[in-house]
Amino acid sequence: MMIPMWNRWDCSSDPFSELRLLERQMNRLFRDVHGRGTDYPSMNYWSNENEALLEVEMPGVGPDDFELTVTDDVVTISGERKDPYASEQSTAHRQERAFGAFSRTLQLPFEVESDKVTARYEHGVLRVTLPRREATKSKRIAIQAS
Amino acid sequence: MNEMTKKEEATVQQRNLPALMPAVNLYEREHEVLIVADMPGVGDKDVDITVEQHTLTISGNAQRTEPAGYELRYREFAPVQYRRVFSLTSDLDAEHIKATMKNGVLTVTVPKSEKARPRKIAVTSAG
Repeated sequence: MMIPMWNRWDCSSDPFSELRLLERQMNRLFRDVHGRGTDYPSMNYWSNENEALLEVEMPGVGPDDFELTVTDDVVTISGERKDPYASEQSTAHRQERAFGAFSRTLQLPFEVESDKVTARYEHGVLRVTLPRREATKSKRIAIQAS
Repeated sequence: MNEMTKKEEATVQQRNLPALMPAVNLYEREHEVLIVADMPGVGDKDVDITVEQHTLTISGNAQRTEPAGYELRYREFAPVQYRRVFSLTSDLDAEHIKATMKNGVLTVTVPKSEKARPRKIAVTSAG
């Protein structure tokens, strides 16, 4: 199903997703005030009959600093965001960006052909294509008339 | 004639994206100040840095194409325009600002002006 432009934030399966997106952006703004963050890293995901697409926001986490694992229908992204300025002699006047180890898991509605998963990291965003395992795809059953 | 130039058109397009302040770290070194901003989805060609008098503005578009033929299941981030404004104090050298973009992180280096840097005064013996 195509999602029309005016409706692009509206996940058809979840009427509250737009509200959650707003909450997330507000949390991001006030994170340093009340010290509470949101799940890291942020994710978007799409799917159809044959595969799922996952988009993960990971600025400053180089391709060598994280690991992507897929087991059946579970995708895990874990790694560490390092602070390149941590060791040097500089004074930090403002620190809104968090560093450290992270791990996040997503369960898909189907099992994945883990050998055929492809991933690309560009401009701090990871894009993963997760093909559905052939054996789990629904098949149309021919009905015989008696 | 009121034809819009390409640049004006781009500005109008930018206005249609929701604006978001990027998370920023500010560091001060002996000779410079570093502004480090998270701008995931922004490439080095999509970032814009302007200095006007004592105001430094960083902005960038994280334009993303929505995949066609898929149903959106879950969304935590959207296409946005990042924008944040900083005021530069007079001890900074606005003429020699440098910037790099790597893995969705913008680093702006603002050198301290010559007179604001710590100087070592050579002491000569007076005989």
